[in-house]
Amino acid sequence: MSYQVTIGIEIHCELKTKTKMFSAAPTSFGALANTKTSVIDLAHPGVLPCVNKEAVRLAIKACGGLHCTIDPLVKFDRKNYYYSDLPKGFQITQQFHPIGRDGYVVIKTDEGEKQVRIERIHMEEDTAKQFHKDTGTYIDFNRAGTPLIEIVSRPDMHSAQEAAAYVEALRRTLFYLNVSDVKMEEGSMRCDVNISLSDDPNKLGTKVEIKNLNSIANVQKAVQAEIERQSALLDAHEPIIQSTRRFDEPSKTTVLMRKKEGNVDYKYFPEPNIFPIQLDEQWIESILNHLEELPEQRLERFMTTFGLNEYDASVMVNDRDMADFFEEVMKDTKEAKKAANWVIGDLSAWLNKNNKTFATNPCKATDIARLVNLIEEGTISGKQAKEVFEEVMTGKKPDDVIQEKGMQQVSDDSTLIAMINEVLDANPQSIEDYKNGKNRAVGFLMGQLMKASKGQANPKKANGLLVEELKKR
Amino acid sequence: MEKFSSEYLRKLASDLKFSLSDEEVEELKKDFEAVEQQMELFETIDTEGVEPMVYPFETPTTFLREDVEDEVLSQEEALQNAPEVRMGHVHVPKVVK
Amino acid sequence: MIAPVYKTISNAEATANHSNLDGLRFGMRENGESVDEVMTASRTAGFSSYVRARFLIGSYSLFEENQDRMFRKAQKIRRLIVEAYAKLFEDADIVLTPAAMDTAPLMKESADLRFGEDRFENEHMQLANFSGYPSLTMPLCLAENGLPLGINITAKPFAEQTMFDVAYGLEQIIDWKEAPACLIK
Repeated sequence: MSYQVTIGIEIHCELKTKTKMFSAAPTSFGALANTKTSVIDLAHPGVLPCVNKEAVRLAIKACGGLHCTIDPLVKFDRKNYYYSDLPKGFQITQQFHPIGRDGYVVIKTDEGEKQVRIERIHMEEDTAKQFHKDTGTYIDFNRAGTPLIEIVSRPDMHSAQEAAAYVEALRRTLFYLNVSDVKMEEGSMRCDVNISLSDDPNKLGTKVEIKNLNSIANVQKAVQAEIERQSALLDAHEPIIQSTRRFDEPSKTTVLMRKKEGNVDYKYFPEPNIFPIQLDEQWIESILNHLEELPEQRLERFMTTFGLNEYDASVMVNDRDMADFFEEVMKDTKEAKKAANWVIGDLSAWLNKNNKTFATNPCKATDIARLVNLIEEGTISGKQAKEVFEEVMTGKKPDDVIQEKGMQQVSDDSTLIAMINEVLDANPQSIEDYKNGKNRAVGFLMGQLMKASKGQANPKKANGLLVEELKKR
Repeated sequence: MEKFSSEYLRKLASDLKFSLSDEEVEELKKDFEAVEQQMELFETIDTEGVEPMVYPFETPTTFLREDVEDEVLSQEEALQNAPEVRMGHVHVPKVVK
Repeated sequence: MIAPVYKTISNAEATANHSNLDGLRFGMRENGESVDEVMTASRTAGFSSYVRARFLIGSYSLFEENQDRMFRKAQKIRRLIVEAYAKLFEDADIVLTPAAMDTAPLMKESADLRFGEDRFENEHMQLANFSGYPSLTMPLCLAENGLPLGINITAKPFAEQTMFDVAYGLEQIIDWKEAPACLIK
């Protein structure tokens, strides 16, 4: 039986600031344990939080790019609970007054485009990191206090595909806005999915939470697995137990982490040590007016300015570094379609094979542009270009490769005509055949010409000149 | 049934990560009764339309800290007060969660 | 009313403010088999009975189902009290009060006044906590038992200078050690 699936997603995203949310200690990743902390992060007695302006600015950008209404009064609250990775015994967050509300993101699915609404975006701080060994737990406070935004969607998604598309669209937008590295594998973007199934369209089923998803592919797999698991239980009239689960990659199933123990009361109350902060409306305006181009805007622009089709444009927009590279290439050539083909095709394939990305691309945009232009000018053929490309990827310049290999196409009229006449002289029968209306002769003669020129005669030009010379004979 | 049973008070304490002796539990029952009485007193004050006063001064501030590094502790300084340190980390017995 | 309001707010805030004292990163740590045990043992040993009682009450007043009638109610009454207090300053720059009605109790006489009777004369000093007005207490004179009595000088918000000026002026004209015993009994 098929059930109504309802999915809501909460995303925590680390902001790319230099310092922590409430202290001036540096943010970091992969640094030596406990070398990036301040007394505030360690919650020593008597310390007070001090709000980071850049964190607020990046949060505003995120709100802008996700179409949220922004609250210009910044207020913080305490979320109280005890845990070894929570130094203060409470987290400073924005429970009652999130900085952003009522936004949305557009996703593309098989059924077309759809808006997924965002209920709220708020600022808060990250916890410390700990790892567990049998003997005990080791705590590293470098991460404690890192600025986070939490983005809460409305339960607008109804399939694994939609869930993955939402996370992807959000990730792309936040990346374009330069507010976060959004690396799920590094934890700078974390995703918690809530799913419930129901056979009654007017009622929601029991909510199950899936945590610790470290890639978008896994989001899709986990949601799919959970839908299947819950469907099977419902089919057998067994109850769904409210719980927190994780995705087990090897078995491709969701596994119980812990049951939900009723509702925890976090005793939220306004943070007494941080006064409400009134943001300057003009400052907010200027941030919103200077946002980076968003993915959907770039897609539009690639299609109208460069005349690309939607597919090519989408592929590049999805990988911002690829799109950036393409635009660099377009500074030195006018051939958008050809440049796109090289970037999406040969170059992407080469990077993939060599375990690189566009962020670590060794080749220069000017070289690809040159390649495109050389083909356009007729200096080399498309086929030859592929050879040149391989050499360029080892660090050589296209022109140097062509020189070295003596690859220049012959396009010069007089040279071609001389070669043509040599070939004609050597093939009188073909001239006869041509005069008798056998156009096949042209093809044969072209073949001879290409052989004689070692493949370097510019085919288009040569063909035209050959026909002219034939007519003269 | 008493509103503030021993069980209830012990659970409350355990959620705050401390425990109570039997004596303390008995004292607390009296304390909580006194507090409830105070709440009855509160109810006699009309606060219709009155906003809670969270801060002594209500003009919002505009101050925001510039994102510049400062005040970072060395690993030694960060850990010097920790009762147990291993491999540059604060070490605690295994977390049960 | 001042004392219950003060206690409600301060107990609630204090519970949270002292949540960082868990024995893990600094301070006293008692042993345990798990982090939970370590925290619980450390906090039980590290906080006195009275302090733990205040935390329990503070925490109780912050529960979602209690906040409106306890914590937030206290904060509303706080506003009413501060508004009333502010009226005093409409006609005056400075309000003078005795700091306490009596000299300090001797150690052997004093006992934890756990949630018992409150008297305004002893609790008015908390008005400064509520209002945030600049407030200074200085010795005024000696009582019959030879212990000092204090006087409190409170000024309008941000008028610290006035407060200091008045205090300084008083200091010039009163030598509290030499003054005869005060009339206040």
